[in-house]
This record gives sequence, C-alpha cells and structure tokens, in this order.
Amino acid sequence: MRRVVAVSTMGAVRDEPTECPRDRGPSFASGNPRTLVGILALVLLAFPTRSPAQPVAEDHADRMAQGVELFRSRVGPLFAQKCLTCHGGGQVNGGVDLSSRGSLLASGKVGASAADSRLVAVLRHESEPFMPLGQARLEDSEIDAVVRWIELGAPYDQPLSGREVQISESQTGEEFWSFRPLADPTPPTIRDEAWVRTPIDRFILARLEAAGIEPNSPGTRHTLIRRASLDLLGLPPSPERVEEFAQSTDPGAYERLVDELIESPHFGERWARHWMDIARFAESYGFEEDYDRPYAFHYRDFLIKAFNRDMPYDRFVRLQVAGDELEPENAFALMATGFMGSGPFPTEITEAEFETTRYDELDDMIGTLGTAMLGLTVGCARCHDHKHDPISAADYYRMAAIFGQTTRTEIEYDLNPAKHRKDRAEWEARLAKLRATREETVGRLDDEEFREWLAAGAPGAGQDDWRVLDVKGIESKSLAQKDKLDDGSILFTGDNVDFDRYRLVAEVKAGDIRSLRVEALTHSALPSGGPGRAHDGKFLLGLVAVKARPLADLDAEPVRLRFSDARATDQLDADYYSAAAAIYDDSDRSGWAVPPRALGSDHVAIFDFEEPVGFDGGSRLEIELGFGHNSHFSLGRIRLSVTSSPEAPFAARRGVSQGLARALQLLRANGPGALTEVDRRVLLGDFAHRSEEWAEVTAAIRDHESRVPLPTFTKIMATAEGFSKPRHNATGMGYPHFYEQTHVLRRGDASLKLEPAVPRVLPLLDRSGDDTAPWHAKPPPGWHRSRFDRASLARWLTNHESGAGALLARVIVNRIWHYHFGTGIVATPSNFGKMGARPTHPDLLEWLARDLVRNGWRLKRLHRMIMNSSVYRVSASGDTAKRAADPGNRLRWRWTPRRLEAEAIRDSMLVVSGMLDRRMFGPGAQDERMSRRSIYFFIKRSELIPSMMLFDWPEHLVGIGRRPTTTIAPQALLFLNSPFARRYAEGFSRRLSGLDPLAAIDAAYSTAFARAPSAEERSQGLAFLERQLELYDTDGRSDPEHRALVDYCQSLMSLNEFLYIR
Amino acid sequence: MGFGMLGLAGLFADEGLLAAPSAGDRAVNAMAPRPSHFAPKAKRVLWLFINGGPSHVDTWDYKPELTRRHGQELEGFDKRTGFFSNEVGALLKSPFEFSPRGESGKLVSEIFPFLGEHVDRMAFIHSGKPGSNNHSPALFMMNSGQTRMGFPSLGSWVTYGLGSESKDLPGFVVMSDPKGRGLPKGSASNWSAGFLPGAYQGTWLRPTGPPIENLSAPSEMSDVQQRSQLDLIATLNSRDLERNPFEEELAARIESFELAYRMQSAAPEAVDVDSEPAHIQELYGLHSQHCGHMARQCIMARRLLERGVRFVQIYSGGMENQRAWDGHIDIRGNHTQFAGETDQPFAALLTDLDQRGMLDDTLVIWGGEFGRLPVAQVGTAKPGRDHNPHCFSAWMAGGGIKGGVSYGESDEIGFKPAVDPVSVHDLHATILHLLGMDHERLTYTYNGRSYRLTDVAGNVLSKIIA
Repeated sequence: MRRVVAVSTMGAVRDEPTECPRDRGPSFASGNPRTLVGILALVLLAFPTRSPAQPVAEDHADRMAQGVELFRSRVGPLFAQKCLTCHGGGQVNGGVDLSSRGSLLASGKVGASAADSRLVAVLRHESEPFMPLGQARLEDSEIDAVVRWIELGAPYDQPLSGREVQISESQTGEEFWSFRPLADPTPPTIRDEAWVRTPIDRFILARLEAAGIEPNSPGTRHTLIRRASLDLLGLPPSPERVEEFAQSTDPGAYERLVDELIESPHFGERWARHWMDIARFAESYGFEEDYDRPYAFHYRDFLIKAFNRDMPYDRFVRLQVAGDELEPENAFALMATGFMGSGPFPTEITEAEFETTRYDELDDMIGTLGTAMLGLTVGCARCHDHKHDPISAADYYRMAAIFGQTTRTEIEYDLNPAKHRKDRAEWEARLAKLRATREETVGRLDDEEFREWLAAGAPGAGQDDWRVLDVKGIESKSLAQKDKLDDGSILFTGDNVDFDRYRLVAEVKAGDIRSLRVEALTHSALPSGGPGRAHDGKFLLGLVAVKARPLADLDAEPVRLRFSDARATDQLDADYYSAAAAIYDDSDRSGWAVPPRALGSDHVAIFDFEEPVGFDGGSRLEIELGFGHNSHFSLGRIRLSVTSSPEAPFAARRGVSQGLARALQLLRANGPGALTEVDRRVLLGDFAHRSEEWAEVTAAIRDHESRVPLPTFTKIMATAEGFSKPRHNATGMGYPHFYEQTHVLRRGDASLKLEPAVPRVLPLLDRSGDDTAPWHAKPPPGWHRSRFDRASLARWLTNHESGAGALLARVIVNRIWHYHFGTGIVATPSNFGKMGARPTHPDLLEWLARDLVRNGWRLKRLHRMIMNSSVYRVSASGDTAKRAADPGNRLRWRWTPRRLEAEAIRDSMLVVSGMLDRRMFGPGAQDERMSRRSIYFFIKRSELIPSMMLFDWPEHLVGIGRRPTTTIAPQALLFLNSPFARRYAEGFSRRLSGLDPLAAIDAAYSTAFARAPSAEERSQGLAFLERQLELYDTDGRSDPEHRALVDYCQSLMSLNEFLYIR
Repeated sequence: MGFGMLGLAGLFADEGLLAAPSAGDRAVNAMAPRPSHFAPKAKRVLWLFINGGPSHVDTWDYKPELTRRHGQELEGFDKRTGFFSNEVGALLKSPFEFSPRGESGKLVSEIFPFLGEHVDRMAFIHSGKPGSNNHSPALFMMNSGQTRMGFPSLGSWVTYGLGSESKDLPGFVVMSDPKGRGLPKGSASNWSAGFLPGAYQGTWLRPTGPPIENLSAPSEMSDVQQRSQLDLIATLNSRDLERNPFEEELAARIESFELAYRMQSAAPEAVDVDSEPAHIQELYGLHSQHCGHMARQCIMARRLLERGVRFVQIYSGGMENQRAWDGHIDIRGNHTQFAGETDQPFAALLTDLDQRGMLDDTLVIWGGEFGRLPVAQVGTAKPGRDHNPHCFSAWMAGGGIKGGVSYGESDEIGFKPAVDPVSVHDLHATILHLLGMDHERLTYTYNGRSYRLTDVAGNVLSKIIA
C-alpha cells in the first residue's frame, strides 16, 4: 500500500462542520463542505457534481453529547447563578451575553480553545475585570468545568432563561403611544353619512361634528384638478385636460382623474423626490473634495420605479436596508441599498481620523434609518442615553454594529440578464452541435487504418508527461460563469469579486503525482485578453493548496500535500512575486505574477510535491487557488495537469488526458485485445487528430469558444457587505483603512472604547427578544458574503407583530398624509418620539396603518383613499367663525394652501413654457439650464443648484421630513431677473402667439392657473399689455407686442397663485 | 400686521416649529431685527478669516525659547500630529524679528508693521484649541462649532438670533479670495445655515463680476418696463391676498418683490468702492499691487457694515498650501506674502471704523482654523510648518473688547496651550455674549433635539471684555 505523506496538522486546515464551536462563520479560508455544496448548487452550471461527504471528527457526536451534559449539569446552572444577572439576563454588560451560544460566541470572549478564551482568563483572575465582578473567585472545580466545556465546543442544550427582561438599560416603550402594537380601531359613526366617501372621512367628520364645525364644501373642479395634479405629479394639468374635466358629466370623473394621475409615470418622480429628502440622497461625497458618485443615480431610479410599480412598502424598506442580502441576484435590490450609503463622507482625512470617520458614517446610516423609517432620533443616543426616548447608548452601538461591515461600493451588474441568458443558451446549443459533429467525424474514422495504428501500439500518441485534470467540481467566491473548454481549460467570465478563491475537485485514477501544473491562459473574453481578470490582464496567484483523499474512502480525513518547489515560465521577480511565493505560506497576498510585458500571453507554473502522492485506487484532489493580492487579480483561464515524471518540462504540448494515458498503458502492455470499448473510443479520439476533417471541426469549436457571450455590466453604487472595503487617500502610516469591530464608545468618542458592540435591533421595539424571533433571518446555505444581520434588521423593521413594523407603518402613513395635506396627522413626520408632536387624529392614524399592513403595504391604495376622500376635496375658503374655533385647521375643515417645493415650481414653469423634456431615468445633469424634471438634477453637495436652493431645496446632508418654506428677496430676483425666468416666459409666450390679446390672456390663465380669468383680470391684463407695448415702442425696441407678452407671461409665473397648491 | 402661528409654521417647518422661540415677525421677514437677550456691546461682526492656518509663533505669539532650542529635536513628538508624518524636522525658530509695539508693548512680528499700531485695541488669545489637524474639519469647527458638515455657521446663528439692521441687503455676507486661488476648503459649507432656515445662509459675494446673482434687470428691459411689470405683479398678488385673507405669508411674498427691487439699486451702491474719497482709498491701499484686492474687500466690508449688515466674513487666501496661509513649505515666504496682502487693509479698517465711531460696536476678529507646529516641516529647500491641531492664536478688537491684553498662554515653544486653554466653543460663546446673546439660550430644535452653536460647552471669556 502506498503511503500518504504530508499529513496535515490537526486543526490548522481541517474542515469542520458548521455546528462546531470553532467555526466562526463566513471565513472562506476555513470553508466548510456545506458551503461547498451551496456554491455548487448556485453557480456550477457547466459541471455535474457530487456532494462531497462531510468530514466530521470521528468523536464529534460524543464530544457534543458530553459538552451538552456538562452544560446542563454544571455550567448552565453556574452561569444562571453567578453571571446571568449582568450578562444576558437583566443586563448585557460589556457586550457579554451568556444567555445563548450564539450571543456568547458573538461576544468574542470564547476562542478556539480554553487557552485563548478571555472568559477563562477573567474567571481564573488572570486578567481583569475579575469575574464574577466584586465577588469571590469561583471554585477551581467550577472553572475546570467551564474549561472542559469550552474544549468540548461550548454547546448549549437550550438558551438560558431570563431573556424577556433582558434590557434594563432601556425601558420597554409600551407606555408611549407610538411604541405600542397596532390597534384596530373601528371608524366612528357620524351624523352626516352623505359626506363620507372613504373611511378616512368618518374619523375626520367625527371630530368636526364634535367641535361643531362644518367642513367646507368641495373646491371647484378647476381647483381640484390643479390641486390633485400638482400634489400627485408635481406638474400642473394641461388646459385641455382641465376643460375636459370641468365639462365632464361623469359622476366618477374625479375618481377617474385620480386613477389617471396615480398611474402616470410622473407620479413616481414626484414621490421619489419626497423620499430623497428623507434619505438625504445626493450624488457626491461632500466635504472638501466632494468627489462625484457617478453611479449613485440608480438609487433615484429605483425609487421612481418602486413608487410607480406600487412596490409594497415593507419590501421597499427591506430592499433599502438589506437588498444585497435578501435578493442578491436582483440588480433592483442592489440599487435600493443606495439608501444606506447616500450620506456625506469626507474623502480627505488624515489617518488619525479614519476610525472616527467610520463612526460618523455609521451614525449617518443608523441616524437616517431611524428618522426616515421609524421616526426615531436614534442618533441622539450616540454620546449618552437618549434624553427622551427609551434608547440607551448601548442600544445605539448595537444597532450601529449591525452596519459594522456595511460599506459603499461600486458593483458591476448585468441589468438585462434575460438577454445574456438567451445569448448564452444559443451559444451553448451551437457548441453542443459542433461537438456532436466532431463525435460523428471521429466515429467515421473507426476503420482499417485505425486498427493498424492500434496494432502498432498507437505510435505518436501520449507524447506528454502531463496528464490534464478533468475537473469535476469548481467553485469560486464570485458568481462567475465557468466554462470548460475543448482543451480541458476552464474559463471564468461574468461576476468578478475582489480576492476571489477557486476550489477545484479532480480525480486522479492511478499513478504517482509528483507535480501540479497550473497554466495561466489567454482568451478573447478576458479583459485585455488575460490571462488575469484585472482590467489589464494582470493576475497574482497568491495561494496554491492541495488536499487529497483516497477515492476508495471519500469519508476519510483529507490530507494536505506539502510542496517542495515551484518554477514558472516567467515571473515578476524571484521573491515576493514568484511561483514559490504561492506555496511559501498560507498567505494569498504574495505569489506568482508575471511582468507587465508578458501580459496577453500564456504562462505556466509548476509546483512540485515534496514526495510523490497517490492512494491505491486513485485519489481525489481538492485544489485551492487564492488571489488575495489586489482587486480582481484572479486568473481568467486555467488548465490543471499533473505528472508522475520527476523532471517534467513546462511542455508546450497539448497534454494527455488521464483516460488516454490509461488506455495507452493497457494497449502497450496487453495489445488491442485488452481494450474496453471506452478505452478504444478514447484512442480513436486521439487517432482522429490526424484527420483533416477533425482538425476543421475542432478549429470551429475553438473559434466558437473564443466567442463566448459576456453579460453587459453596468456600474451601480450600492451599500453592501462583503465587497471591497474602501481605501482612503492617505500615505501609509499603518492605520487600518477599515475598522472591522464596532465598539460601544463612551461619550461617542472613538478613543474611549468600551466593549465590542454585539449587533442587535432596538430592544424598545423588539417584542420577541431572541434569536428565535420570527424576523430573524438566516443566510441561505452557501452564503458567506455577509453576516445577514441587516437582513434580520430589515425583517424586524417590517414585522408589525414582534418587530418595529407597527411604528414603520404609522410613520409612512403619516408621511404620505403629510405630503398630501402639507401637515401630518403627526406634525413632526421624522419624530414620533416623546419630543415629537402628538397625532391630531390618533385613531385615524392607527386605522390607516392597520389598513396598510392588512392590504399588503400597498401605498397606492392609501393614496387613492386620501385623494378620493371628502376631506381632501374641501375648499380653501376662510371662515372667521370656523377659524376662531380651530385656528390651526387641525381638524381639517378647510384646505390649507401651501407653497410648491423648488422642484414643482421649476417643473411647473417648464410645463407652462412648453419646454419640459419628459425623458426619465439615467444620469442626472448639473447644468441649471437643462429642461428635464428637477429630480434629474445631479445633486453635488458643494455645488447645489442655486435656483433650487432659493426655494428651500435641502442641503442633502441629513434626512429632511418636512421642508421649510422661506420667503426671501432673492426668490423675487430670480423671477424678475434670471435668464431662466425670461427663457420660460419666452416659451410660454410662444404658446400664445397668434392669439388676439384677450384670447392670449384667457389661454395664459388656463395654462398657468387651470382657470379662466375674471373680468377684472382680463382688463388688467389688457391694460398691462398695452402699457408695455407703449413703453417698448417709446424706447424704440423691436417687436414691442412680443416683448409685452413675454413680460406678461413672466409676471403670471411670478404670482403667488402660480406657486401655491390651493 | 399680526402674524400668528400659521405663518410661523410655514417658516419654521421641519421639526423646529414646536420648540422654536416665539419669533414673531421672522415669518414675514427672516432678517427683521430682533432684540438680543441682554444689552449688547457689539452690534455687528467682521471676521477676518486667516485661511489655511496662520502660524501663531511667527505672528503674535513670540517664543524666545523656540529660538534658543532652534535645531534641536522635540523629544517625544508624535509624528502623526500634523498632516505630513514623513517630513518632520527639528524645532524651528521664527524667521521673523519681533519687537514691542503700542503702549502695551506687545511683541509683534515684523510682518505686521501696520497692524502693530493697533495692538492696544486688541485682545489676544494664545491658548486656542483647534478642532482638527485637517483643514475642512477645523474650518467647520471654527465656523459652526462642529467638525462635521451640515451645522449652522456662526453668521447664521447670529442673524437667526438678531436679524439684520439692513432692509435692502443680506444680513450675512461672505467674501472669498478674488485672485483665483479658490474657496476655503469645504467651500460654501463654511457659511451654511445647516438646519436653520435657508434665509440665514451666508450670501457669498462673487469675487468678480456682479456680486449677487440676478441683481440687474434683464438686458432687454429698462427700469420703467420692469417697474410696470412689478406693479402688475403687486396688483394681481394683492387681489389674490384679498381673496385668501388667511394666507399671511402671501403678504411676505408681496413684500419680497419690493425688497428685491430695492436691492437692485442698494447692493451695487453698497459695494461701490470706487465712490470712496481718495484719502480712504489711499488709507486701505486700494491701488497697491500687493494688497489692493484685500483693500477693496475691506472697504466693501466697511460699507456693508455701515449699511446695517450684521455679519461679514472675509477670507484671506484661497484654498490651501501656497494659495493660503498654509505654510507647509517656506513659512517665511508664505507668511511674508499673506501678511503683506492684508496688513495695511486690515489696519486701515480698524482706523476707519474707529474714526467713524463704529469700532465701539463692531467686533473685529482675526483668526484661522488652526496654528502651526514649532517644528519644521522639511523636504523642500525652505523649511515650512505643518498644521498644529493643539494650539492657535487669534485676536479680537472693538465691540466691547478690552484692548492691549492677552488671554491664555501656549507652552514655551508654542506647541500646546499651557495656561487657560480656550476652546472654539469658548470663543463662540464670547462672541455671542458680546452681541448680547446667551449662547445657552440661542437654540433651535431640529430632528427632536435642541441644538446650539456651542453644543454642550462654552465659557464666556470675561477677562477680555471691557
């Protein structure tokens, strides 16, 4: 029996099952078999695969049983008695929570063995703080039990109780109205049933009737169409539509109008812009350099589409918080994650600021999430417990820790995967056809000549020391497409991630293995032709590791093979960038690279094993290739071969398949008669190389392979976990560019670190309290890109029963109400805490929230219910008596007029001037003169559009729930003097050209105000036109009539009536 | 006109409305003058912002010990203190001579022959603590009390608190380098209103061309035609207001057009430096090649202050390095140049304000975002100094300031504050105090939290107040 050499040291590279305590999650390097299966299922399309057996230490089950028993009898009771009060029961001090295995491991206090477990050190009083704090040291026997229990894997039989009172730092929020579960109020009965159009009206009317105020009668149709159109679309209605609506005899004309507006593509543009305020969305970093984020606009496009498609609000929220985890294949979900990373971030910082800047960034993320989605000022708890709401500073940092690994990143994504799938299917079908043709060709060659060749011992065949491995299974960190090409090489295209790692499985049926050959090959589908996947074809093979196990016993522990030497046809240097560097250590940073001049051509590296390897009956090799040096530095096309020759050359020959090697051996030893049909067929395949016909079809196959269709990638700025981490612009003083661990900070100061923060949602709104919560998300098998904490957070946010969903629903319902009416039911839309306003109609808010949740979180339903209500239709007329009774119109007896936002003012001017360019989506423009809707302005933080800023455009630095409305003289200067105002007035006047003055005035009023002018307004208009004409005439100006009309149009667009929704 | 909560809600929208102080007529005109908390000593502020980080040990903070130890290593110096860790040299004496000036005998660097005449008006702070070792966070700190972007600047807080005395001009005006050397780092964020209403944002005067956007009537129109157009707007808007008597803010909008019309003539007049008499132009050095640009801005500043503008900030220098007081290389050349650009005009301002009786209630501040290190920054032919995140000097004059005094001390080489350290919040609290405002009472509620310029800190430096 052949002896296997180079047995691995225990533990170092050994695979372990997921449940094993020392598994720390998503480290690919220590990878586990389940992961492998998952990846194979996910990405391995081209290869048939077999699930490898799980290698589990033989005594695993026994050890677990012992550990559980020890926990049940000794350790569990000990924890409960001595530790749990401060660590997982009433409190979670120092971030150490002993109540479950998950939380204990997450604390980092238990390492791979008792020796590197801080828990043991503090129990032994070898390290401070001595535990149990302020009490006597535990008995040696008790500590020994803990030590042994850790050595056995620290298993729990069940979580320790006491979790329901877990957070003493925070009170539960049940007492306060907005923190309660959703109630289900019944719409009240009212006297005037005829007034009720939607259930909303009952709640409104009940209060009005109680106050003895009669609501105003509905506004005129002219008023209503302008109100509805500006409110829903941010655009005024066309004069034609106004007339049609005003004249309609259809009793359902209003409802039909509302439907039409809600289904307009411009609806999404209006409501996306509202959300952009809340999300402090901008397209640059801010601060001094204020670099652009050219791919950030996809988030804006996501918003527009989501609102237009009536995406359920709970999904809308989940995608923005964890789209990368919940729907990783969905580009739309990736775009949604722009929410988290839209905030400002300083790009020019000194190294000493890296860490504080990261805390600022986390603060921006959770602060924005808190106010935007929950109306909670979470950010207030950064330096101290929240002064008013039950959110402790510890809660804050636990929440921040959920985002601890989340960064802004640019991801390349195929936005039209269907097209690629189709191209790919066609390509594969054609390839299959070519291969079939070749098979036929080969079959026709089975003739006398072949038999003679066989009899002669197949001269010329197998002239190569290298046997090309027939790779059976292959996985990578990326979702790259892997194609096995005709020459036995494997081509990687499509998805590419930084620091990829390939794992390949191949079987070697017989013979010693002395060396492994890795060919780095070029291909037309690779960037710059390859052989690497970096943009210029660079690669760096940083790690080559091979494990073997006998084919006869696949359950056996795999052994790690040791290398003795390495060489390459070309390498960048003889040291850090040599082939030897790839096997020198376990680091995948140093390794084999070729000089820049050598890019674009094929290269070979050979790795010699310390001793020949090979099990009787064949071996299964698991080959790992690591590319940890630089972004995208993985290999694009590889071919793996092995040899049993001690001095195998690099070899330019085509290589010999294992099947051929075996058949030749048989033929030459025992003659043609000994061959099986399979062996014979393999030899025939080799014989066929001599045929011209074969050569032709093979050339066709290779040519076809060179034209493998590639997906078309578009860059998206996403905010996600597991992609490349940001690098700052700085000289290397040794500070880490990214801080992996989020700590609880004293007074918000990064230099005053307390314990590591364990990721956790706000206890205030967690009604379930442990890992078994229904919202707790588990990653799918094979997922190692991220920790899935955000996925849990997203599900918690949207779970109205045991999570934050009740508050989430209240906040969005109120926001929608706020944008329709100008004031929310809660007047502080981003603050539902104790410092926020109280609802004017609490039951209505509750009912709307409940209705939203009950009907699948559909916002368009809510919009319709509001738009169609009687309360929405009331006129703006004043009434002194009613005003005396309710001066602030809190009971909504009238419509409160409000000024349009900056966007709606500008967009209205564009519509009225006939100059609006209605193209949607895509990169925005910073040029103030562009004529698309204002939502398509490129939002650069240091160069905000001046004319928009005049009308209270946000600074886009923090979320804004309600824009202020200021009145300042520069606004008037803009209407009077700016080139825009004149240009729009010119456009407006062109629409009136050819009309006599009176008709022009009528048309102008209809266009600008959706109504006809009064007799007085007509005469004022006429008088003005005459006066201007005269003035220009006196000045000797050309075309005075035209000038007068432009002045008139400009004046109308400056009027208050133009700027207000009434 | 009685404007109640409705109008207020319109202006103080966001979350501020609930806790906003009863602000009366802010709804009609955000810049209407408002009473201070107590009797002010200063009515207006002029901040001469020495952009880039002036070196205190080469200007106002004479350090003989630094001269004695010139060339020695600074033991225990953390090379990461400044911006360039790999260019740290030995202690560097000031390349400038210092001599006693005024009755107080303040030792002043030779680069300030003119300003040295005014030391008896100035109160020096030598123990200032900057906010960062990096320009923009330190600038944000100095301007807004926070190192992050997005907080209201001092000028915004002041105009929010006091409004402006000018009806026809912006209340808070900022001027930047007119020589094409760029804006200070962080640009307009340095005069942002942050979460305060946009009306309180600083108005940046464009250094060239018309200083304010849309200030002149369209070229195709003369004044008479525009006036006629304004009359139409006024007529139609007034009718509209009659029909909507509950909409108080409509009246403010009507008024805003008239104000805009007045601004069209008032603003060009206010910045018309050339109309100043020759002896004034001479005093400031308007026709001097090296300081003429700053003389122009200083005269403009005086004219604006005279016309009731509340807060003026002038940035000396452009963005950074050799374009500003950021003397990383050749501290001698750098500071000689920028002192030369400003010395005469700044001194003239003090003289001119004084002769007009305005200095008594105009607070003048000289200071930048941080100081510079006592050690040399090496690597180029002429030594420079890197950013000092620990210490800076500044002075104030006029507006209730006690002249000829120094407050606080840096250590013997000017590395760190040694006696009576002064935070930026202390500085801000003192400025607000001189303006008659209690920094703890000047608050704005936003996103559920009550904010103030001085965050949770700030002590008034009563020893420098007359």
